Amino acid sequence: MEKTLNNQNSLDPSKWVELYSDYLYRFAYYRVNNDELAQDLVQDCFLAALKAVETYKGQASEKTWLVSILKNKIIDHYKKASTRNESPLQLSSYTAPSYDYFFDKEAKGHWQSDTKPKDWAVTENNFDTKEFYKTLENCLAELPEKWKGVFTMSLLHDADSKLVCKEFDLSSSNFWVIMHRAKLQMRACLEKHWLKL
Amino acid sequence: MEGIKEHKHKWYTFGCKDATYLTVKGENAPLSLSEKMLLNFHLIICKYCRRFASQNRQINQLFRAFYGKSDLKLSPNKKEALNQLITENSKK
Repeated sequence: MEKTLNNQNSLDPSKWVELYSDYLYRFAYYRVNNDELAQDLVQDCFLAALKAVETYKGQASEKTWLVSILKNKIIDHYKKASTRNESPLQLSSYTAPSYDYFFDKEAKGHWQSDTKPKDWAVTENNFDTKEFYKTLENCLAELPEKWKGVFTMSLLHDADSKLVCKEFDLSSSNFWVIMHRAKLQMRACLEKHWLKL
Repeated sequence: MEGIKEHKHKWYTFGCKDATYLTVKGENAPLSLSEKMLLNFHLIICKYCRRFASQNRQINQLFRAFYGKSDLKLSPNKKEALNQLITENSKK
């Protein structure tokens, strides 16, 4: 693989696919969890980048610059995916369990009896398998659109939550509620579908 | 808006919903002294929230490993199509 010209102010679109397309595709895929959509986003990214070539000043590397364009495309997607006039916490997914599903409002917010975390140590689990990762992906797919990206970015980059908030246009309290609910949902999904408890 | 009342945890109303919330928040943001105390005390007495906390850590690790394992790639066909698109749109 040839070296990128990242110490110069020039871009080389003829090398973009070879050098970055897989990375960009993965980047998009984990945020939208949809193969076709991820490919479309990469395509949109390259097209937008070609239009914006004049704006590249070389402060960021070519890869970083492309990723930032892709991020914007992804954010546009989230905006379209969440239906009009919904607050960040009431996204269009009807599959996301509410707090009441997990916690009993009456009893000081304790776990509902059927959602109490079970003991994972009782089953022998090999998490390091393709099948597990498929289950993980499926559980991720259950999250509302925007939550997927927030969740991913937060976990992967040990997020500076301020950065994630900025990128997803969230207040910090919204961000924490999303992370809380996403974690609750993911944990329950894995317990049910992988550990089969 | 449903959510958690920030900074209004009282010891006599602090429950599992609050504890799991602070568990998640504490991964990324420093908790106040009173938040830490409320959370730690709750974890001592509540095995379900202890489970949540350790399972939460496990999920974090698994998720990061998931990314590390990924061998998602674009097909050669798709790459060729993209290259063509770039060539067509580069001509100005």
